[in-house]
Amino acid sequence: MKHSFLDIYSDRESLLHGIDPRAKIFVFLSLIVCAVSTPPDNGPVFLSYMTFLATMLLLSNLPPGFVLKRSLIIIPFVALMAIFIPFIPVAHSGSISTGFAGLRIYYSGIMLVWNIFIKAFIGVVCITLLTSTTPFAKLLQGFGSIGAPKIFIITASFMYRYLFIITDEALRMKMARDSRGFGGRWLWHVGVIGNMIGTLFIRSYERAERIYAAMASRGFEGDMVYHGRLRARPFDVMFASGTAAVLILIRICL
Amino acid sequence: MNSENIAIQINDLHYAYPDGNTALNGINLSIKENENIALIGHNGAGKSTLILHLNGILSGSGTIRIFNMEVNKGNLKEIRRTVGIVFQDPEDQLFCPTVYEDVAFGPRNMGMSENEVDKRVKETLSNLGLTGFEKRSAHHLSFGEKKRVSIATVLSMSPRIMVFDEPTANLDPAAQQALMETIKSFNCTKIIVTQDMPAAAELCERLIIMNKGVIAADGKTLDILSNDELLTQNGLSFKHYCKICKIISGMKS
Ligand SMILES: Nc1ncnc2c1ncn2[C@@H]1O[C@H](COP(=O)(O)OP(=O)(O)OP(=O)(O)O)[C@@H](O)[C@H]1O
Ligand SMILES: [Mg+2]
Repeated sequence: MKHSFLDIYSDRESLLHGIDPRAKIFVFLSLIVCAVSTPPDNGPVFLSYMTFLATMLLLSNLPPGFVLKRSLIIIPFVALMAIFIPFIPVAHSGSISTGFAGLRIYYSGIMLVWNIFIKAFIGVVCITLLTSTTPFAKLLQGFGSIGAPKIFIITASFMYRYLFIITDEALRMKMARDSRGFGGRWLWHVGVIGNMIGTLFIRSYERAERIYAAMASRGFEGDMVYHGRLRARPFDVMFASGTAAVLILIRICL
Repeated sequence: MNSENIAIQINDLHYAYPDGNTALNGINLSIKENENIALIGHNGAGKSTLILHLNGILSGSGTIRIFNMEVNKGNLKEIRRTVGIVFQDPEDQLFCPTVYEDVAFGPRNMGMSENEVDKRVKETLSNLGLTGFEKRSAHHLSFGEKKRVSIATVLSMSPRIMVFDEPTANLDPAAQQALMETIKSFNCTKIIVTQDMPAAAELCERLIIMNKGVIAADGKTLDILSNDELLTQNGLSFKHYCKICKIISGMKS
């Protein structure tokens, strides 16, 4: 069994780790809302957001390289979406020729790409900071106690628990396949891989049935009782309201 | 009949899985309170299917009574608080984000207050030598630890009957021994499904053999284990173990 972590580093100690999950959710959600609503050409505001995130990173005691690496996973997605945007003609927008097949790059398109990129980046850094300073169970508890639908919380909790088991099962199947000399024609591959996916699905389904049996045996009747034992300290409230005030000031005044 | 409490009474139980596979073919069984029963049988004999009937997860034809209460849709709550089942695969048993939540799951469903739940969880974990595991998440535990936590999740409900499906399978010898000592220390009616004859002999005074969905033998553990003909008939002979034991003890002397 491989030991994999989604919330690696979440058991460290730091000022940010110690904050109540609800306060952290509130702070990072505020930043995301502020960032999304900021016009893309407002440089100083984005610079301030970055400074804000850097401060949070300092308070979190996380390795900056780790946070950066996690956050850069958005690049392929943004690139895929945005790669063609600068080439799409826009009326009333300045443009320069690429000197290739009559293609032109439009300034408004570049601004749009920047807009997508910077906001996605801020969002992902927020999520990374949040999930790396909060153990997953606490995070769920936090979302649950601020009124996220129970069914989401339960689904996420099962996913967190079983994702790696299903991954392991898939890897074991791949190992069994490869050690029996799997190879050969491509069409044959498709069939085998299709079978593997089918088997994985059935195994997961049967596991779900067994888990349900185990739950029912312990008196489960359809209602998951996770009791919130979160206790916010005055400091958490201060932290949340203080940082939110800073964000709103940045957003409005710069 | 009334002088001793009957914990489990099964009459003429039949069950076929939805795909038509007959798994139980007329089970009759009576188990007294505080008896320790070992349930053995070849792979696919129907052991797991039988124990899933004891708390109404599966329901075939025939009757099952738990402490004189018939298992039916109406009293599942009561039945499930009386019969605790520890399943074969701990990955199925442990579905919460943390060990604490998992051990608290049963008591919470029983409607205990949060203070009582907390007390129950701490007590149970310390009984099983798992103090300090509260915040761990199940997928970062060793197999032996997972087994222990699985038992904790059921023990925390203090059931009057505990059923273990292959508790010692896949454990190293030291972990097996430790787990057996733990199971021995519980004061309740116990049914232990196992392929491990020494464990059966050590834990249980009564042994039941299942074969193709029926009960093939039922009696004193040592009587049955010494009857190699009976064991061979049911595909359970373990003579080869004994051979090794003899060789080893011969080498020592
Ligand atoms: N979900 C299912 N659907 C259909 N048939 C099943 C299902 N589960 C078990 N069976 C069949 O029912 C019979 C009894 O299975 P059961 O799991 O009770 O055996 P077991 O004695 O526990 O075996 P083992 O020692 O391998 O755990 C087997 O023939 C098996 O193939
Ligand atoms: Mg079984």
